[in-house]
Amino acid sequence: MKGSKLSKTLLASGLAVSLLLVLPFVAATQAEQYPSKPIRWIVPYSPGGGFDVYSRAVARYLPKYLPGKKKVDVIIQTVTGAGGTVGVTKVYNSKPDGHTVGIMNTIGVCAATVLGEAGLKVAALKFDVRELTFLGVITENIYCLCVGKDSPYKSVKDLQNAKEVKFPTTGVGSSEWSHTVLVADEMGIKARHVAGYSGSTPSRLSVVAGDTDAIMATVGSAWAQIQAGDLTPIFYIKPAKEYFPEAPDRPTVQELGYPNLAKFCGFWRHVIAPPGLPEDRAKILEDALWNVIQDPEFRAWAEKTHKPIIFPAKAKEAKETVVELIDTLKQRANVFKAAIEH
Amino acid sequence: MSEVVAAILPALSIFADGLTWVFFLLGFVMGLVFGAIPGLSGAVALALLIPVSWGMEPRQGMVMFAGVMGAVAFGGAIPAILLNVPGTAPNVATCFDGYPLSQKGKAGVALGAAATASCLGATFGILWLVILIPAVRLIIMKVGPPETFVLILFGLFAIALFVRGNTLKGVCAGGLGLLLAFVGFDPVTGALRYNFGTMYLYDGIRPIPVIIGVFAISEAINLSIKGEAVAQVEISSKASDVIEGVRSVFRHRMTLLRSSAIGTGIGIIPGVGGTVACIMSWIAAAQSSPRKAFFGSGEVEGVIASEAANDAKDGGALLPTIAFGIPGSAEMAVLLGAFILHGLVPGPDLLSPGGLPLVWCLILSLFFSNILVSSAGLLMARHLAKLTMIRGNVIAPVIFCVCLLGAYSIHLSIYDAMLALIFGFVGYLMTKYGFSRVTLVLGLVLGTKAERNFHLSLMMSDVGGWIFLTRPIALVFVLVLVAVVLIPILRRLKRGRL
Repeated sequence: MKGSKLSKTLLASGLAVSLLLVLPFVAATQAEQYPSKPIRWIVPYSPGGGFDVYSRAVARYLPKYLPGKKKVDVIIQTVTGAGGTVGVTKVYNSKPDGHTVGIMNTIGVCAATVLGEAGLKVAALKFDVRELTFLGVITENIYCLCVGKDSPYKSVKDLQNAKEVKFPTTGVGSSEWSHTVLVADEMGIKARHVAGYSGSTPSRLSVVAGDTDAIMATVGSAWAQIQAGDLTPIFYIKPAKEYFPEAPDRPTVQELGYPNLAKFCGFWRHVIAPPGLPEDRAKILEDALWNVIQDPEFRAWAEKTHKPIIFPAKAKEAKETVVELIDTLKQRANVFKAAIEH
Repeated sequence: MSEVVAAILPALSIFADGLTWVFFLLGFVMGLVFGAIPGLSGAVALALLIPVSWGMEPRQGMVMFAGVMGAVAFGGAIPAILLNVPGTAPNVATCFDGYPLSQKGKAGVALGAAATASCLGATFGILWLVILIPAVRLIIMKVGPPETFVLILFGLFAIALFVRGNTLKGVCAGGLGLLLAFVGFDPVTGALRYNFGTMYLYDGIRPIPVIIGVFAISEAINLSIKGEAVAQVEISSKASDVIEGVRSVFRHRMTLLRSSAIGTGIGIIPGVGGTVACIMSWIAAAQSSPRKAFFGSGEVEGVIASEAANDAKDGGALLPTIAFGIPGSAEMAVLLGAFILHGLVPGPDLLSPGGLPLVWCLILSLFFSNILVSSAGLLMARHLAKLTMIRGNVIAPVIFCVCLLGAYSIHLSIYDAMLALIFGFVGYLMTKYGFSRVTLVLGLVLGTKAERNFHLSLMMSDVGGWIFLTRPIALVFVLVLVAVVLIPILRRLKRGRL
């Protein structure tokens, strides 16, 4: 009796020891596989907003294009706060093993960085945004300047001749505000900022209602109002016809003679990862993302919901956009400073 | 109109599928549980269910989402009444009278009234919704920052109305609330105020952890110090209590109608929210009741006012979401995202014959969910009421844990949990020394909105401060406000002279 019990114990401990010896190897082979566990996709903005919706749509198709027999999930995690900087910082501080990625409002984050340096106490990142690993751009949106239905302003000239034009924005330092400041400066429009609306929808509605005069909005977000005739574009930053065939014929800033505006007026949705992500994994993610963007089902969804995929980009181009954006914004730091002190 | 009605049939057909009911129940249970746990709200439940809705037929997805929304508000009322813990922020006014009723051993009455008022409030909310459809565009266009500001001013004046006992202390607490509201980044001027160098305070002091702290945690402290049960008298766990609660709703028909109208109306205006709706409705009920003096010390009418309003607001908030893609509340913002992910575009598309069945699905399941949650509530009320008999030092640790977890889970931030804890002690001291916690919360919730809309009004105005009198709707609001303030004073003067 006693003997058999002993041998059982021995057998058990022998098994345990051998298992312990083998485990590291199992773990090692697993580590070489990528992805080995679910990928966390951080969204720094509220659920239901554009960044959340695009993220969820991409996350739905991404597993299809990731290597490995066993498909891993892509899980959305919402980390809001301080205009998105909390979420972007979380991505920055994550382990660069390819299991954490995120999405970023590029113009918002870059403008905050430059505004921070210009002396405005906005929530700027505590690190250089260019250090992040960029995996691509899902879409860029085209900005346009819109006025209300019965607005007396019909052209850029009208706006330039106006004594004062009221522009609604979500607040000082927001991407709407930055674009308004830059456009007003470049074109010589005397803008009065009505800053502090609780979102871009209420600020657009204030133009529709006639409380304010004109707004810098993306064609995509204002599409319902443009289609209904409640908002009328005056000009586009980049040609919009290709993506919105029904959009009214209006000139682009290039045609109006302000080509600089096309450089920094944009609304990019960059996909980011922590700095130091190994190149092979970055490549896997970049390719998978690119494949999702080309995926017919994903495209069909985008088409159906009037969310056209505009100028998507791969990793290299995505990084160049950010570098160039920061440079051009920095050159205009004085313009921002003047607008804040005004 | 006939198109609208004709769309009911295809909407009903989805309910013939057993699977629809499974999804409905899933949403319903999630809503009830997430409503009952402070911090977790309907918006969180919806966000978690979005991935689950992949692969479902869009109509079934909507049924599930409506299941959540219908159940959340009553789910939140249960802990509000029994433990003074508002399950969601819009249940805060339910605490005012619901908890004192529990202390008097009448939890059954309060629960019965809350369940009935929730269900009828939601029903009236949906009716108001149908009546208001033609006016929606007008409301959204004409109610700008000046009108919103005057509306919020009503709420701020209510701070004075709220005060019971020591007026000075009540107003002080309201002022502290206002001061707290000014912490954080000011989008109007671009200034960062009182953040003490931390990124956490950039977004300001969030109201939900504060509400959890001053109401729930302070109550837990109080219970653990006293060691007694919530109910200070022996409760009668008889069904007659619950029936008494149901009857009380029918006695206060006017309150029910008025509260559901307030709830729907405020629901339509984007960015005001259910918390303001329930507080305003509670105030309106208190002001127009002959038993005004008893409000806040266990008047069942107060529970009815709050619960009818916070359930009716779903109907109101749904309207701008469907018609214009403008979310009327936090939950609706998430729902809007779900719409788009399912390839549905709010606006004319959804209101076309092709989209209408889906809208009916939402409305019908919202209705079913409310009926179900109220029936369940009525059946459970008698047993739930027994919770108030548990000794304080047994139940307090449970409240502590749930509250801290709830506060943490809103933004997965440990600072939120710490904030709740700090305000727990603040709230305890406030009750001990007779300062009103309600006015503190009112100041905090309304302060930010008041400031923002005031600045926006002045910035858009060409006539300076006169903008509040030159816009017709704002002028009407101002006149009503002046009347509300002056009439009691005039009445008193007249009585004094006679």
